[in-house]
This record gives sequence, structure tokens and C-alpha cells, in this order.
Amino acid sequence: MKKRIIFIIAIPLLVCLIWYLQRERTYTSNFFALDTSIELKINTTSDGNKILQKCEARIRELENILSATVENSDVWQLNKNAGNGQSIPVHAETIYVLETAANVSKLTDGAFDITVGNLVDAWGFRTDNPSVPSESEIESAINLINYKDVFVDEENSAAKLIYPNQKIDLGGIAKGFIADETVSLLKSENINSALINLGGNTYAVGKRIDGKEWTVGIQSPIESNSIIGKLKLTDKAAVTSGDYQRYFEENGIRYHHILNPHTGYPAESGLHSVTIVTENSTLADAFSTACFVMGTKKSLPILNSAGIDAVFYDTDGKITATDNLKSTFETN
Amino acid sequence: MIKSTKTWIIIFSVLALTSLGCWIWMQSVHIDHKIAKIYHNGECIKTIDLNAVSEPYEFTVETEHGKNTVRVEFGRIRIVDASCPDHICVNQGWISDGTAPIVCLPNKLVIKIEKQENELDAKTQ
Repeated sequence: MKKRIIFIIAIPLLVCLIWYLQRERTYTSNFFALDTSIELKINTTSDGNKILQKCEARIRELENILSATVENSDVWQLNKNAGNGQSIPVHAETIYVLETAANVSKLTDGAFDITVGNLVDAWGFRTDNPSVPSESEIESAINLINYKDVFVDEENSAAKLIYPNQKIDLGGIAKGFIADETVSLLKSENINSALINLGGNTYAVGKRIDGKEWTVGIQSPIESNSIIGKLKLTDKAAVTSGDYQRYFEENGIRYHHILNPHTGYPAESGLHSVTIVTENSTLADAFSTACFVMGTKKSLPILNSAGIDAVFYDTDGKITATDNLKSTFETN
Repeated sequence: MIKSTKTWIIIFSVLALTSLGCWIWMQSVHIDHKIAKIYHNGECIKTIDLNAVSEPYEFTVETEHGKNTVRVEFGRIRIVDASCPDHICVNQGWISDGTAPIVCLPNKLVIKIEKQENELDAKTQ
């Protein structure tokens, strides 16, 4: 009788123990890379920490390929050899980013352009002391901006910049691409529930551990601890460009960091921020910059034909969301 | 037969009571704590239960990357002073939920509050 009771108790306990050990668990990692704070969250039954370590290594590897400031990176090499006529061998990842950037530039009539490197340097937004450049500095930087001057040889995995001193900056697209690559890595590890947050560039993979959609808030440009609305996301990226993210004041005027490649000055399109929502995070990143430069009216037809969704927050406080977001976006 | 039924009743009663106890305990853990974690370079260096703060206080986190003075009050936390050039962390002010962390990029410092039910999973900014 005693044995029977022990047996009866042991079986459910064993089942519970197996369930406990095999259940899906949440793993997170936080680290600094890509000049920002990164948070990765995954839900899995396997060794999540090992997978997160692989993700971090992959992110750092891509940073070393795509950063303009990392010595000997693909972008550093391209800038250094600008105008000398020789094509530089680059990674397949770089080719993809350059080609995607060129496509977005074409679709947006140059509102997004990676050849803004000299203009970004002139404003000093990557330094601790940004300042307004002189007219002549801006003019000479603008003269070197033209996305058509990036020559890509896909077959030989090589690229070059046509004119001397031209400089590319992938700050408006690289993080988006790295988020996509992180998603691919997670999928290859059979992770179907994850949230990637590269300093505000977010990607929601699958659903949360409780089976609900991921909820991502859109930062309010006015109040630092408020949101303008919430997005319910599954297998989508949400990337925001806003005038509040990086800025400085000079002689009482506020200058933000999203530069219009055509004028050389911070874009003034009547927007405080724009959030792009789509499956491809590389496109989301590039389009968020382009749409911020173009403004709501010019952006909407381009986004509609590309099948990309967006939430615009203009300087009058008006929120405009594309039709497809009606069921997934909720204003505060 | 009667003895066997009794045994079963006892077993299930014990199991049910234990489950109920665990459930109540887990609920209380959820409600009563709001945990802030301070990370330097990705490593958690301090944990604070914000709902257990009776008197506001300040302390300074000093690392090889710089200094940040943190102020803690009941249910909220902020950075009040920092050695970084941009002071974005100071200007962010108080945080009281898990939506967006305070990030001081130059000093590689992050302050996060653990997410509670019905909150956002992330913020796009």
C-alpha cells in the first residue's frame, strides 16, 4: 500500500519536473554596440544564453563590417579609396545594404542618400560638440552627395565610390539590416518568439510567451517618458526617426540630426517623428529617414505603392497612420 | 476501499492546498515589487526594490567610463547628475515602469525597471 502511494505521488511529480525543465523560458541580454544600448529577448526551450551569445557576436561582426569609423571595415575601405578608380572587395552583406540603399534613394528621389558622410561630419553629429557649419562647408559637402556615385559590382562582390573625397555613412540603414540578420540567425536556431531592440529600432519575432502580440510603444517627441500610441506587432519591424533623438542648440535655434541631403540642413518637413512598420527592417530603417525628410504628403503615395506602413506625428501634434495599421495601432 | 478513497482525498487536498499557496505567493511577488536594475556595460551592478523605498536617497555609480548620480524615490528612479557631455540621461528624468530604460551611452550605464503586466514590451524611438 505504501509503495503504491509513493508511486502515485511520484508519477505526477516526475511529470511536473519534466514539464518544468522543458518549458519555454525567457532569456534576455543587454549590451552596448552600434553606438547604442541593445536588448535582446528570446523565448525558447533550449539554451537561450548560448543563442544570445551568438546573436551578440553576429551584431559585433556586422558592426565591424559596416561602421565607417572601424578601421579596415568595408565602409572605411570604400571611403578611403573613394575616387581612385579601383573596386574594393566587400562582404556580401555590404553589397546587399548598398543595393537596398540605392533602391530607397531612387524611390525617394534622394531623400535618403548614404553619400551624406561629409555632410554628417561637417555638422559634427557623431562628435560631442556638434555645431552649424559655414555655408561653404555645406555647399562643398552637398556637391559630393549623389547615391548614383556608389558603384556596386555584385558579381565580383566589390564596390567603389566614383569621386575623390566622397564618403558614405550607413547610419540610416545599418541598424535595420543588423536587426534583419539577427532575426535570420534566431530563425536558424528555431526561435519563434523574440524581441530585438537596437536602441529603439525594434523587431518583433512571432508572438510573446503568453501567445499575445508584442506591444511596442511609439516614443512621444514632446515628453521623454510618454508614448503617442501603441503598435501590436508580429513578425514586423518598427523603426522611428525623430527630431528629438539627437540635437543641439546654437544661438537659440534647435538643430536636429536628420539632414536633408538636398539642402544640407536638418530636414524641415513639418514632422516631429515618423515610425515605419514592415517585415523588412532594412527598408524600415532607410524609409524612416527618407519619410522624415519628405514629410507626410510626399511619403504616403510612395509607402502605399511599396506596401509599407507608417505612423506620422507632425509638428501640430496630428497623428496620421496608414490604413493597414488601423487594427494594430492605437493612439494614447 | 474506504481507506483507499480517504488516501486519495488526502493526496488531492494536500496538492490543491500547495498549489493554492504557490499561486497566492506568486501573485504577491508580482504585485509588491518594482525592481530597478542598474547595468554597467551590460552587467547588472545593482538591484533596487523601488516599492521598498521609504526615504528618498542618492548614490553615485563610478566606473572607468564616468560618474552618474542616481536618485531613488518610492516607485521611481532617475539620474540627477552625470559626467557625460550630453546629459541625455539626466534630461530623461524619472522612470517608473519598464517601458523605456534610462541609457547613458558615454558612461555605458543603463537603468531599467523590470516589466510588469500590461506594460509595453519595447519602445521605438
